[in-house]
Amino acid sequence: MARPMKIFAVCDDGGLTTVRVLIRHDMETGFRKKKDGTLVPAHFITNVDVRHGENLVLSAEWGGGVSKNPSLFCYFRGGAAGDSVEVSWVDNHGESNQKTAIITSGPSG
Amino acid sequence: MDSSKRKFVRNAGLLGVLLGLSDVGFIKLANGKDWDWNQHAFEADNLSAAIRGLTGKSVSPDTSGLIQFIAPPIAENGAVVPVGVKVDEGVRVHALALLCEKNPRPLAAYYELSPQAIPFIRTRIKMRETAPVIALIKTDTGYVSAETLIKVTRGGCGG
Repeated sequence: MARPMKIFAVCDDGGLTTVRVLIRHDMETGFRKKKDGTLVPAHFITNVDVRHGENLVLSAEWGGGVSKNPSLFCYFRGGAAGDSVEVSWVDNHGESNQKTAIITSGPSG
Repeated sequence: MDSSKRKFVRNAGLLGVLLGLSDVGFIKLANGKDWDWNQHAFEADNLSAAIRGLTGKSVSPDTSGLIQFIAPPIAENGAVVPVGVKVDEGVRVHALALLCEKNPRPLAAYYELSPQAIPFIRTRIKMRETAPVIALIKTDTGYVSAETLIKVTRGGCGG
């Protein structure tokens, strides 16, 4: 079952929106060995999409080289406090999750 | 690792991806999502093959200083290396990739940016050992890459 994800979306005075996403995921590469020498199967997020309303702002493809419990910062223009930002992801086992956050106003990160 | 094991791991990964795609089929329909994953590039085991898988053509070095790294020169823990890549806002960056030369799978992340997005991405990546980290961007005029050396005092592949 997908674990909760956190999204922080803040729009500053200059109209720049910072989106910070924290996802709980093991991000197993498939190369790591257990104590008994067997490999831990690959299990990692392959895709992350960030949307501002209906607009796809960022579309990410990830491999096992992204750290465990991934963090992603992205920035876009055209957002305003009160708008929604949706983040969705899927991993190589077909698990997926999505969450929507509302942009607040504040200093850019 | 012997080749049959390697093949198994690769096939298992592929199967997982295929299962994954079918599993999220309804989401895809509901939201018009399209989960592309560049398997060639992500499963390439050396840097040049990964870059070839991404671009399919030649890449110019960043002679005009377009690409700026926001990364520590020394990472204490190779499992979590914060890397930021920033390009001047006036440059339209269609896509941005992060690669680590000495990782078993050099390509870590690939981002496609809409015109609305600022060409600035920050992610945490894994690094097996001290190595150049490469940022590759796709601009209106072609692919440009730059690299920065990050020293790793403890490798991040759990080996």
